[in-house]
Amino acid sequence: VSRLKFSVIRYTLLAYVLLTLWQVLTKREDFPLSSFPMFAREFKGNADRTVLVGVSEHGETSLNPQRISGLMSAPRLQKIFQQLQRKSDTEQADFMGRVASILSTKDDDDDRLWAVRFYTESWHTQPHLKGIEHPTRALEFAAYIPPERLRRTLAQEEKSGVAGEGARPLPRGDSLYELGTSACNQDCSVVADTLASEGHAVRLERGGSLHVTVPAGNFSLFVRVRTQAPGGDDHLSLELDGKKPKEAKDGLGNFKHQLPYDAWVWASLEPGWPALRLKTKRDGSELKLTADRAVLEVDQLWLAGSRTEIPTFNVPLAPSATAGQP
Amino acid sequence: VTSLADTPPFSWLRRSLAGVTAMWSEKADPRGIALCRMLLFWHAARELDAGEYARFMNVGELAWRPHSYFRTFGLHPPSDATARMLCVAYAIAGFLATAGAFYRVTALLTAGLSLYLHGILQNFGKTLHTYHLFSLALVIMAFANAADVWSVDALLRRGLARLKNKEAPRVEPSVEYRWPLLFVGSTILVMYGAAGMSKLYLTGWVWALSDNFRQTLLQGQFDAKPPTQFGVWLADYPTLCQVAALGALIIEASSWVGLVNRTLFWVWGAFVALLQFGIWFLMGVVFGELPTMFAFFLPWNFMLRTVDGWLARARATLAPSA
Repeated sequence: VSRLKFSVIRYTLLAYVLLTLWQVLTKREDFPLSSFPMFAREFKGNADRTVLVGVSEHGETSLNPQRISGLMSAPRLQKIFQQLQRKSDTEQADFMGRVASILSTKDDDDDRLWAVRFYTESWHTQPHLKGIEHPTRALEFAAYIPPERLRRTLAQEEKSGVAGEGARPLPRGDSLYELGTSACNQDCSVVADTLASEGHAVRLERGGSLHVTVPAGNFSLFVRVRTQAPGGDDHLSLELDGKKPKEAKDGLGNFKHQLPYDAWVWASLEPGWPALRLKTKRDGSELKLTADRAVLEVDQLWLAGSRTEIPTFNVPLAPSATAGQP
Repeated sequence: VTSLADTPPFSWLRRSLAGVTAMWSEKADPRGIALCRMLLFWHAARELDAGEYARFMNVGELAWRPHSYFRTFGLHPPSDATARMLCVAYAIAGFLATAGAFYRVTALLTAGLSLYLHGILQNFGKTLHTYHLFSLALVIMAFANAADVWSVDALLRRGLARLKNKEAPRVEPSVEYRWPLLFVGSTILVMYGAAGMSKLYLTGWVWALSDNFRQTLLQGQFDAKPPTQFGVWLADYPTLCQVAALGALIIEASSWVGLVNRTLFWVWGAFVALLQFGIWFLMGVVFGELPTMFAFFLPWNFMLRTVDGWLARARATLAPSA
């Protein structure tokens, strides 16, 4: 090694040392330089973990983010989806389409994922790993991947005004409400609609409301609804015995951003999110729905005992009750 | 008259630096650096999956948060097709460099692509510290004569010499085979030194002299998968946790002493390797590329001499007696 080469090597190493010191003092990260601040912050005794789940017709299944890419971690994917919330509807749809194309490895519709959700599991770290099996679990947010088959059906229904298939049977133990005149409160009327379950539905003008009486129980609430309103106005606010349940602060509906069709859909809180779960302690509780932003038509109300996810079909259920009573 | 350089600690520093210069000037067996070349570039060739990387670009663009020079120069992530092509080129160059084929070109290409491809990955909201030293090590090795033996290039040179009826060039131990190993080892010490200093700078001694390390040990069990539950046992002894944390912090923060003293270079090399093993053992944290890089701290001259001795003895034993 020549003297010159030796000097170059020596001063290069010295430069690396000094540049690293600069990174430390200025708390910088300039790859491949770094201050290497791994574990440098003090831990206060709380541990968090981001958990990713996928949703299919079978319900929630835990999802390894590396199924999307081997380089993907749950926190990184979480950040990506957080950014996604700020993008336009088109950009969101394009992105979720890309995610769907990666995740759609199975041909069976029932296995196909139509949402991904992020839960945060938190622990207060305790000696002997006490409580490790029971973290606090909170759903942070969900992203909807509109099922291709549902999109096709809705597009066809919007275009041709013809339903894709017939009604489906109501699952055992569930309650169904066919909405008619007796369900109307104010600014509400019955309108003919060949795609509604019995050829008619109720139309709520802006500010209009309807009500039904529900039995005691623990159930998911779904509404079969359609509207020409744009995303953001496709909203039904909900009151149970005169109070707004805190789980339903954003109301029902909220589907037009993801499903921009003038066709009937089954809705609950928002596509991708679990259905609104309501608990009533007595028979005869009063459920009131108000279209507070735009005109909406409502066909059926479905109280599901075991189902917790929004259906990926849009056809009505075979009725078992009419007009305000199950 | 006694000069300042002759009084402690300057006299110690002067002697130490002279020792370090001597260490860097020693000759090394070319097979040592050849083995390090194989380990490092083999790791490079296999670590990035082109499909996964491309998919990450496809999905990850929403999280693109450029930092540093990526922001300064307005750089964007590559398209998934470009990313795939670059990853394939990186893997091919890595394999060729492992084999020591056209080493000057392939090693430089691997190092350049590593800087770019790993640099891109730092811009998605989270810094991945495993790649920093790895990329630097590839750059250092790209400028090293690491393919003079046990390589395709060496075979070609020998073949060409035979074609010209010349004797194949002999590859003797040289300083050329020493400095890259020491340079990579030094960058490892610099990294641990920076990590220790960052802890002191951002949190202070309280990092060690509080409940912090104990909580870290427990947290590792809650949100990662350590290979053992030894950390849980240790967490029952807060004083022991503080002693362990203080020891780790002192070792880390003082790692740079290994740069100015030849003995301490090897001692701290062993310390940080053990420290890294301990982090994995207690908390399950793995820096994927580091175990490969610790090979640069191995005493290759001694190990190769020992193996040569064994082989010579084995040959002597197996050779038919006259």
